[in-house]
Amino acid sequence: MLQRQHPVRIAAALACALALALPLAAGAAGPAGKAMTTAPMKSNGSGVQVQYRVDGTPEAGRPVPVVLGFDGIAAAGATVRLATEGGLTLTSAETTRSLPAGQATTWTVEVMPAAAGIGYLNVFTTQGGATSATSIPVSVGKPSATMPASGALKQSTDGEKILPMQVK
Amino acid sequence: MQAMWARRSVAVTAVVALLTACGGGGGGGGGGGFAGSLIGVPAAGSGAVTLSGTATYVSIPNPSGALVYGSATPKPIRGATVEIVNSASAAVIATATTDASGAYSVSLPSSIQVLVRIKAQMTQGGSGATWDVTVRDNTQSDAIFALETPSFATGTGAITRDVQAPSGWDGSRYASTRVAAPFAVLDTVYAAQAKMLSVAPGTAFPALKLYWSTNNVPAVGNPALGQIGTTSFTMSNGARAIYVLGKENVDTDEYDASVVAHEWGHYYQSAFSRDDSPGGSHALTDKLDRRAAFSEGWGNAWSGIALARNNYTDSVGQAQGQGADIDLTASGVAGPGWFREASIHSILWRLNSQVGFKPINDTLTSAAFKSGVAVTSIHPFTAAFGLAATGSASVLAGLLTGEQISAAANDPFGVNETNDGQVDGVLPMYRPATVGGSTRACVTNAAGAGNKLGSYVYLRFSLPSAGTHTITVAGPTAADPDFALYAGRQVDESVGFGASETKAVSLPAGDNVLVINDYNNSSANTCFNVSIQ
Repeated sequence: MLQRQHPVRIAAALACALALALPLAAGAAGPAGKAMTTAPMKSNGSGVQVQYRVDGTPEAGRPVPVVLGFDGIAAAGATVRLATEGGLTLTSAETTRSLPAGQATTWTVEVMPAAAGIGYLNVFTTQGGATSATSIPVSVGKPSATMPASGALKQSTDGEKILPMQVK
Repeated sequence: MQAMWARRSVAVTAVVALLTACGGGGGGGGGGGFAGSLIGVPAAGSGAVTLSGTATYVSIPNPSGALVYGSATPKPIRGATVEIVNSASAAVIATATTDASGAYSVSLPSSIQVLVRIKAQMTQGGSGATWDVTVRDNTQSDAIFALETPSFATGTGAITRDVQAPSGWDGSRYASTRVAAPFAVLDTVYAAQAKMLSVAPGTAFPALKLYWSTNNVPAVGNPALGQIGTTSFTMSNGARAIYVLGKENVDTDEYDASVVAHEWGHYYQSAFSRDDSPGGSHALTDKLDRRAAFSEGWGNAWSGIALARNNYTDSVGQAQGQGADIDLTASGVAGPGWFREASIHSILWRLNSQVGFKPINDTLTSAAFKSGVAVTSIHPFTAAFGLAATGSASVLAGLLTGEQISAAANDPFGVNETNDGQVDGVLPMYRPATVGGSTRACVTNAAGAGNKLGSYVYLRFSLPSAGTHTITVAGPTAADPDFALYAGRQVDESVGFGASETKAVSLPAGDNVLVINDYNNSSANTCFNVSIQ
């Protein structure tokens, strides 16, 4: 996919991304009126457009609703499958659903983070023999801006960092 | 003593780099333009030994959508930077570049401890073809991936040290470090560059950074956390980058060479051709804006051209066991046309198979295509192809007709196009606009939002002289018009908020194109009053 956005629009998009990536502050506006985030679509994927919204402030040990929206379903219909990772569990028993042709579908599920950090609700949509994946971040606590640094990192004489991987 | 070795290596490096730069040519996937180099020749009588070997990575094939781990095979690490590191001082005492077979060779002092480091990096300077490609971890300070052997003694005689980057797959999961992954990504770029060099041996490739990580997920957010959105090409402040997914059981693309090559196709457009695509989401089932259809269709076709494949595959899901398998040899869509990326990719793929890549490259890099007034789409490509490859124009015409696209020669604006994709109002492809008066122009969300067929309306007008003009686009309350101006390239844009958009723009004399859309995609028939003063 070619990524290209206008500067003014980038500011708006970043605001949306930050709103999604960062936890809502205590007492922040609730779900009412909160916009859905449109997931990027991969080239030559299922063609199902996925939107989502995390309704509320994720907390460890407490379920939080995630609203999923699906569109772009052709005549043969599509399917969606959910999976979680990173300490996130899906409290809803249903993990798959058929998406009817020609209409937008909304599905609200609940996920529960086990601890502070970032977990992902992975959404797999399949249509016309092609599958696409979307990962929805669910963050508990203030997420770090970076991943923990590998202890293996080295720096070359020209200042470039190198990440060595040992082989036999 | 070690410092002396290092200085000699640097001096010889410059000479060999020049030799390899002049050694371009060849083609196909066999490594045209890349010659292995030998660096670090010690002084006579200094007790030198030769260290040589072959570098490989474990490649997981994707023949039809899913990764087939059972068919994993070693492939050469081609064109990569080799560093020999003194184990005691950590200094790089010799460098080399792997050849098309993954072979490398260096001369070293005898009886010292060294390790072999191979970086996921291809560089070549000099006056001929040049490139600077690195594969980096966006979640680890953008560090360049490298494999390293354990330390070993050089001894007193010639030694061989073959190295292999394993996939880390244990039969059911990635159980150890995925060393091969960044080299698989690098190898796709090697193949793409080699194809380009086969028709343009002196190509100077702008620097390209590819970012891959096991943490890279298809999530919106912070790339330093792996939230890269999806595998994609970006250019910011002149820096070109391709982000590549790597999250196991979700979506990994390091072995999906089609996907990486597709994005390299966008790099090609950025570096050597022209691409006016607004970007955005797209699928084969979509009817797309002309620019998006051409750009994405080109990316698909290029993946097949560069990799000598007739399909495009992309794995996803648990154990990378699902995926897409797209036939590049035929569009396979109902209602083909200039707005279908599948029509475009099948045309360009078949054109390559019949006339070769050179006429296509000549067209895409021609002034007629890069600097024409019409925005990038199949119609100006056709017109430019007629100039760059006159003898092959009939081949292209036949392919266009088969996809229900006007094959009229010398018609960059698609004046003779009759296929509207069953979306009202998309023809004519360019409408005349009145300078000094008002013009009505409409867009529609009938084919979808954002970058779909009818989402943009194209107006054409001519100015007798260069000057500043005020453009105003006013629409209904629910709409949010934006516009861009083209005159051989994009010369300006206005992307503010609200139902009316106004901007004073400096425009050249002659033909100009004004492209308008409704950011809100508010209705199936959103009309604007357009003023050019």
